Amino acid sequence: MSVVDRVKDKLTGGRRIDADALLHRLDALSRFLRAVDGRLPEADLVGARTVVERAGARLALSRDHTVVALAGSTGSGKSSLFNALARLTLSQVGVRRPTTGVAHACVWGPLEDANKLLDWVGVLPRHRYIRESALDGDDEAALRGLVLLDLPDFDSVEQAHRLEVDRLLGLVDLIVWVVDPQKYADRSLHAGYLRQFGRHRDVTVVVLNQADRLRPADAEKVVADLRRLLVEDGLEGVPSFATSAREPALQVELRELLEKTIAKREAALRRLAGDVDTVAGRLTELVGRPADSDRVDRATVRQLTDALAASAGVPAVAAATGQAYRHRAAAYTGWPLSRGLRRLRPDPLRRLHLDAPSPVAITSLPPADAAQKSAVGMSVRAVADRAAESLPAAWHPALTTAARSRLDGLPDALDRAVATTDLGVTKPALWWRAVGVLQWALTLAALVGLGWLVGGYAIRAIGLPALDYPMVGDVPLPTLLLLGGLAAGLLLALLVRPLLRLGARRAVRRAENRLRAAVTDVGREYVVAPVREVLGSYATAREAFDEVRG
Amino acid sequence: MTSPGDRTPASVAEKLAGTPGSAEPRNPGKPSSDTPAGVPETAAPGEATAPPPAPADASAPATDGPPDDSAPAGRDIPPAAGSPAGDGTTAGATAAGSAVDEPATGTAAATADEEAAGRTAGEDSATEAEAAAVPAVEEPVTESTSPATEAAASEPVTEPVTPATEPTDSEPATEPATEPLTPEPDTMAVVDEPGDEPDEPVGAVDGREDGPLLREVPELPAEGTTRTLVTALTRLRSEIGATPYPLVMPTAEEARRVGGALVAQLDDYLLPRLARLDAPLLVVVGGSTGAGKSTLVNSLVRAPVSASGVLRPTTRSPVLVCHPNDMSWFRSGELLPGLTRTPEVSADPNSLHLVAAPALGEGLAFLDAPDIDSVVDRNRELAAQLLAAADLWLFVTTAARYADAVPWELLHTARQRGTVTALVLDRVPPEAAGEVAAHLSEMLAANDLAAAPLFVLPESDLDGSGLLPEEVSGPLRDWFAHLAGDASARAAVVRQTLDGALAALRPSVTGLAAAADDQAVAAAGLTERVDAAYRNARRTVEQGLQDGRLLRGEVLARWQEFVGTGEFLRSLESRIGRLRDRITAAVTGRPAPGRNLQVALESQLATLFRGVAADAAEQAYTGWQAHPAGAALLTPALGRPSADLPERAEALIRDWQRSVLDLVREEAGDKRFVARSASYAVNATGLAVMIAVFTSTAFIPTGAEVAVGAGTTVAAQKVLEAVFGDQAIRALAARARADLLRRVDELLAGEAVRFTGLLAPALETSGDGLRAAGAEVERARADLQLIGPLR
Repeated sequence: MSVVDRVKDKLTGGRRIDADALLHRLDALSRFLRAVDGRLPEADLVGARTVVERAGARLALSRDHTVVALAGSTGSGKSSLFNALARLTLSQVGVRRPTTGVAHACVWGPLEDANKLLDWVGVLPRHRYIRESALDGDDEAALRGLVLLDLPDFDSVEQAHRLEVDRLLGLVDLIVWVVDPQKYADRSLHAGYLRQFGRHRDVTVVVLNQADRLRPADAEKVVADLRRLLVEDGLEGVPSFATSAREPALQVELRELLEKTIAKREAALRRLAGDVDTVAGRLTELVGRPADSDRVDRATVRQLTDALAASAGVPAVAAATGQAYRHRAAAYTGWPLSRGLRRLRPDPLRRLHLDAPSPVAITSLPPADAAQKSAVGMSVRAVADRAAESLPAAWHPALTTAARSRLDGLPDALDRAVATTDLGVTKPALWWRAVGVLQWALTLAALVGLGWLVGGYAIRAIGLPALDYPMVGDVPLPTLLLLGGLAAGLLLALLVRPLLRLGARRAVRRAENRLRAAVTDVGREYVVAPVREVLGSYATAREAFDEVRG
Repeated sequence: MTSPGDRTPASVAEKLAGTPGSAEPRNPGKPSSDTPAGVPETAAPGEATAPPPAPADASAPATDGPPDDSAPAGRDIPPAAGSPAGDGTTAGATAAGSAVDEPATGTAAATADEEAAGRTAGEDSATEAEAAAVPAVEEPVTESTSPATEAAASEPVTEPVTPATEPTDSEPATEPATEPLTPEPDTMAVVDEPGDEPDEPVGAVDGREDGPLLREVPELPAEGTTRTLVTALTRLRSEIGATPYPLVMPTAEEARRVGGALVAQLDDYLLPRLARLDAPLLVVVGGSTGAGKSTLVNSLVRAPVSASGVLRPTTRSPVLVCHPNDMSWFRSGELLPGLTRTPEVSADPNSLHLVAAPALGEGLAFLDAPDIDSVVDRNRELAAQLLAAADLWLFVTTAARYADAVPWELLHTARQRGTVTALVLDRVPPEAAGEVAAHLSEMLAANDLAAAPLFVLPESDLDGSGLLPEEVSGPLRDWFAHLAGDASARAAVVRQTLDGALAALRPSVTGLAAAADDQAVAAAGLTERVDAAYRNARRTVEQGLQDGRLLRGEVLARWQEFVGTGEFLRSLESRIGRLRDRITAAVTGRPAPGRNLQVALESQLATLFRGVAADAAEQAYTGWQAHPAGAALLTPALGRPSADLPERAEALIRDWQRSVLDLVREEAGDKRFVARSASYAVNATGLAVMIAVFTSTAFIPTGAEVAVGAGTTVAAQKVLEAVFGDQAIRALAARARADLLRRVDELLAGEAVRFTGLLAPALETSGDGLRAAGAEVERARADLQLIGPLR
């Protein structure tokens, strides 16, 4: 705002309305609606959508014209006032009630410009009148740009009139409520209409028509009483005065007000700003305080992982890994002569189809049982609850739905996660090979000794002179080799056992960690990510809403 | 010319004409016979037939000229009586018609004649035509419409007409009105004949000359019948009070409102009125804000008793004006007991300001009611309440308001209830008088209110004390003076309204009963949803127990700790278990389970129970949310299982385990040979039974299977067999399983009660009591025959 504007503002004391600010707010409202689409019940958002649509349409149409509507109950004199303001008899005035059934429009200025606007408002072409003509000269120039509507009533026995009025009241820029001394305190006017326009104070005018029927002193009393009722309706400070369709002197104030409004060309913007305020008021309860930093914390995720791991069979797989470790190690480090016996037992991991990680095939793990499914369900619910703690109640269903949205694909994903995890027992450890080599060496030595002994025996058996065995102490070398080799082999196998047990335990732990990590990833992707998405929409919606509120 | 004036039900018209007893419906075609049906609307059939002749007849008297006043007077009621007989054929004629018949017949005829007389010749034809038209319309309406005598009715109506023909008639317009009124006393005298002329057209048509209508002013009904009716009404009142509408349904709000209004009407009006049928007649002056009710009341009693002003709404607390002799009745508080009587004006809306006006006739009282459509809500409620307590509605509207929606709703209610109504079109600009009055007459006719007398009062300056000028308020005052003077006319009015109100009870009560039934149905539907959710839960638990896999893990370990004495047996049992599983898998084709879960039985069961309870609570919550009545009862806490569920589930499991041990102990009671290891054995067998429970459901091991049966089960059963025998094990297993399921049922029932407890009041609601009470009232009313039987 420039200095000049600020000074002007102080002098006029009124709120200036900035078209850009309004557009900005409408844009923010659209963003808000996009962010909450599908998350919040549609019924709450209908009002906002209507406002956005209507605002878009109105701002695209003529900004030079101001649409003013004369609204009131049957018999209040709207049509007479309409004719008086136009200084022509355009609208039918009668004593039979209700009189006006459809809206009539009178345009000051060229009709062509206002045609599109009137098409949008919904006034039939045959009910449109043009006021300014060459004959008038400059008399009506002050009102150029005015589109005055004479609306039907809203409280007669004809229901159709009320529906038409409701529709039109949503589309006009300025509303002049015409009341008369008999009906100014009617409930249908105040409770049915005026109270809903609390935020449209800038574009509401209330006039007491038929004031010529009252004595001046009475007229003042009635206007004061009317003002009191307006205060109760929340329309304090709205321009309210007496008029009469028969006395031109009493119409001056209304005419001046209309002229001023048209000159400022702000009525449409103010009306739309009022609409946006109304809608924002209603949406406040849907958007509360900002969500705390991510509530889906580690503890919750850990609980989720525990449940998912149990249902995916991670403990069983880990145990099988340990067994497989020992099984496979035995192939390298066991006593060669009894190694083969191990083969009679199945490889635990192969039984579960987990020996070769493959992303496509399924494992042979049994599915989760009832208790585990319950546990998974509860932990998913816990995730949604934690996230919902700081959000308004309207968002809880959205969070719960999001947490469950991918639950169906979870068993398959878990299975794949388990199948593709490298459990760390595929490749034989280096020391196994070393031990294996050693075992073979010892066996070889034993075999050499045996062969030697057998050879010596055979030579003696066929009568050749006995071989001379080198002696180690008192024991011949081949015997030593044989017995030593066997004994050493056995001893080695036995010594290696505790090492294998340790190794198996480590393998189990390692496998479990890797499996848990894989399961955590699945959990995050399938359960936590959708919930975080909803939290993200909430943050976006909140931001946009702050801008809407201005 | 009956014309517009013919809008009043014959009875009332007759009454107003002051004729006692001749029930002959003045209004042509008013089947005077008291159709006991007394349904306000039904006059139509009979009436319809009558009208045509009536107008003709009406005109007849008219042409007779002024002297007609007496002429009609000459008519006797008896002939009228005959008419009713004829009318009786028009079975449709409702009691209203009949009631009216009695006294009014003569009057009606008289007044009609008078009116005709009063009218200028020129208009006669016009009015006749109108009259012709009107009666036709009026007939059906007669009952429900006000008792305005034809005269009165025609009078006001003719006003607009007269001005047309007699330009001078704005004021003078009232003259003709007065005319008919004045002759009334004469006609009253003549009332006996009323049936003659006006009736004749009607009666003549129907051949009513059956003889004098023996419709004297009905005697006060016998004590006994009144008492029966009072009892029936009291019962109805208590039934209505005892029917709550706890669930939020579309019909509930309406039913509550209607119920409240019915109870108020019973207290304010029906019961006091029945107790004293001869109490003064209460005219309630009601209408929109700014219509001029207070001014009118002041003018009618010629004293400023009710404040009127330019600010709206004016009247805050109602003002009742009556003759000093009637004060005691109104002060006694039997009528409208909810309002405190005050001698001076007060702003308290719950008070009734009593004013005595000697100028008013005895037996008649005016009540200036608050408006029906201002912003002050209390005014509207009070106005509706007062109108329900009226014997005669004087409805005031203006040229600006006569097409407003709110007043017409009330007029419809009046018509449905059969209340006697009179309309005043007030504050009519002179230039608009004709058109507006004609339009209003059209609208009244279109809404079956053609029989209501319509008075048109032009806009005029008030005199010094704020009263309407004499000539403006004259006709109306005279009309009321007439009514005040004629006891039988008053009685007829009272009875007609009372009967109509009683008759209108039945449909309302039927509506209330339907709403009550709706409540019960909705409650049943909601209960079903909850039950379905918890049935699902139970099924899941059953299936979970059947699975058998809850056995694995620590259960096995525990068992082995108890029974498997050695590692060898331990590993043997595990192996046998796995072997069994593998064979089962091979046989059944399911993948072989290959893991040992390290979770204990208790925590498995606890998790299972918590999971199913949470699922069931959520399912029930969603089911209720989809139903509008259920959604209103929900609290966020209901969507979760109750806070102490985990503890209760665990307690349940422990209790069950204990009961299994008890079972086993019982069975083992007299088997003493397990001496040293008795406790071992009991625990062992207990645990064994537990395990058997799980595995025996789907796959009961028989002889051959036992060998390859679940490792643990085999050993367990071996031990048990040694102690109890094979059959006992199975029996124990089955009982333990049944026990567990029973406890689970209790747990789930406790959870479900959180929902169904909210429905308790609605489930007991039923419309039968209401319907029975309504039927009883209807029967008593028919017996009472307020508006008099035909003979």
